[in-house]
Amino acid sequence: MLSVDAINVFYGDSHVIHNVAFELGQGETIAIMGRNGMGKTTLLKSLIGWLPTRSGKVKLAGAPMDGAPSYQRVSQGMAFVPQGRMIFPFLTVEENILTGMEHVKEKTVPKWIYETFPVLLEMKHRKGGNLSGGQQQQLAIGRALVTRPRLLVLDEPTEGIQPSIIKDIGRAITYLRGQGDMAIVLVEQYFDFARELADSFAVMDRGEIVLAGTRETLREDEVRGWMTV
Amino acid sequence: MQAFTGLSIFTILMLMALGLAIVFGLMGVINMAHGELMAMGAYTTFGVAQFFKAFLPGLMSIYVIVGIVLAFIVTSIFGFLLERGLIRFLYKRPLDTLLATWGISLILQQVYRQFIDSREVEVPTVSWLQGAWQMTEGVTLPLSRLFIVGLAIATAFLVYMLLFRTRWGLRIRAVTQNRAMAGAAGIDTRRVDSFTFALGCGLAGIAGSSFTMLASTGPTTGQQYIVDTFIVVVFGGVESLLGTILSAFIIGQMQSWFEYGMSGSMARASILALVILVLYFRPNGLFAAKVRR
Repeated sequence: MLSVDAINVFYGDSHVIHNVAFELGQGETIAIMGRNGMGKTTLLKSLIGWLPTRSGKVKLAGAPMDGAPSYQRVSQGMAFVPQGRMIFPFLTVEENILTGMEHVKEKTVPKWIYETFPVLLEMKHRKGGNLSGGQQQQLAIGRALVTRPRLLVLDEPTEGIQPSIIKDIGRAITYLRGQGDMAIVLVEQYFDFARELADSFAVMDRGEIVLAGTRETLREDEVRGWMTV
Repeated sequence: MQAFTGLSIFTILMLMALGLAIVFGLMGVINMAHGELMAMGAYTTFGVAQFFKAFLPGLMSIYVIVGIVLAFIVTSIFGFLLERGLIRFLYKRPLDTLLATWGISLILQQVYRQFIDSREVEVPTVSWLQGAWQMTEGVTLPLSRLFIVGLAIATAFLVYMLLFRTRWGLRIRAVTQNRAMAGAAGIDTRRVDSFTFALGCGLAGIAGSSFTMLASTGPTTGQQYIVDTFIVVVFGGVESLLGTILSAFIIGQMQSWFEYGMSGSMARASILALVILVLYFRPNGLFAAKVRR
C-alpha cells in the first residue's frame, strides 16, 4: 500500500531524515517510535506533502507521490491526522468534517462517523476551536476517516489526551481497521498504545531507522531502550 | 443629512473593503492594486455607458445594471489572470507581493491615462435615478445614492451567503484558517486561491461601478480609496466580515461628520488618530474572534 524508498528530507539546510525506507501492506499498521526531535513528525510531513523529499521515492498503492500537493495525495487515498490536531477553529464540528469530503460522492456527513464518535454529534454545531483536546482529537480522526482512506497517517494521537479517551480512540481505530483494509502509519511515544495496534515497529533516532521488526520479533526492552532519555 | 452622506461613503468603502478583506484575510496578500481594480470597474461602467449611448440609445435606461455586472466580470477575470500569472509565485514572499502589486497599480494608472483619458470621465445619470426622495421637509435623499446603498447591502448579503452557505465558502474559510491543513484534508488550495482572488477583485469592480454614480473617474481615483480601505480592514479585524462592514460604516460616518465640522485633512487626521487609539487597546481590530486556536 505504501512504499517509502530511501527518502531524505531537509529543513532548510539541516538534513533531518536520512535514507528512511519501509514497506506497508494493505491493512497493516506500522508504529514509528522514538524520542522527541528524532524526525518522526518530519517524516510524516513529507508523506502528506508538506515538506519535499530531496531524494528517494514514495509510492501509494503503486502510484508515485513525489512532488504531488497534499490534496492529490488525499484524493489518492491518504488521510492525515497531524500533531496538535489542527482543527479549523472557526468552523463548526460538522463543517470541519465536511472539509474532508472533497473526493467522496456523499454530500453530507455519514452516520457512521457520529456512531463511532458520539461526542461529535452532540457538538455538531459548536465551533471546532471551543472543543476540548480529546474532542478535537476525535474530530481530527473523523475528518480524516470521511475521506475513506486506504492509508491513515496518525501523528501522536494520544498526546495530551486523558486515558479514557485514548481507549476510545484505540477502540475506534481497531474497529475501523477491521471494517476494511485500511493501512495505518502511527507515530507514537506511548508504547502500550502502539503495541496494541501495530503489526510492525520502526524506531527512529537522529533521522534514521535504527531498529525495525514485527510484533513477534521485536523485544519490548529493546524498543524501550531507544525511548528513554 | 450628514448621516446619509456618510452612508454613501460607507457603501464604496464597504464594497472595497469586503474584497480586500477576503484577499488579505485568505492569502495574506496585500493587494496595492485593489484601488486600480476599482477604477477598472468604474471605467468598465463608463465604457458600457458609451456603448449604449452610441449603439443602443433606446436601452440607455438599463446600462447601469449591465455596467455593474460587466464591471464585476471584467475585474474578476483580470484578478484571476493576475493571480495565475504573478501573485501565486509570491505567496511565500509577502513584501514582494506588496511591491509587485504596487507596480501593477502604477502600470494600470498609466494605462488608464494613456488609453482612456488623462482627465476625469463621467457617466450620465439614468432617468430613473435622477431626482430625489423627499423624506421630510428639508431632507431629500438623491435616488442614485439610495440605489448604491441598496446595491451594497445586496452585495454584502450575497457574499455572506456564498461564504457561509455554500461548499465554495466552506473551502475558502478552511483555507483561510489553516492552509496546510486544508490541503491535507483534501481541498485543492490552488483552485481556492484563484477563485477567491478573482472574487475579491470582482467586488472592487462593483465598488468602482457604484462609484461612477457618485463622482467622476480619473486615473488616480483608486489611489484615493486604497488607504482608507486598508484602514477599514485593519480597524474591523482582518478575519471578520461583520467587522469589516461595521468598520466601514463607522469610518464612513466619522468622515462625513468630521468634514462637516472641520477641514477635510483635519477630519482624516482625526479619524486616523481614533483608529490608532482603538488598535492600541484592541490590536486585532474591533471584532477579533474569541476561540481557542
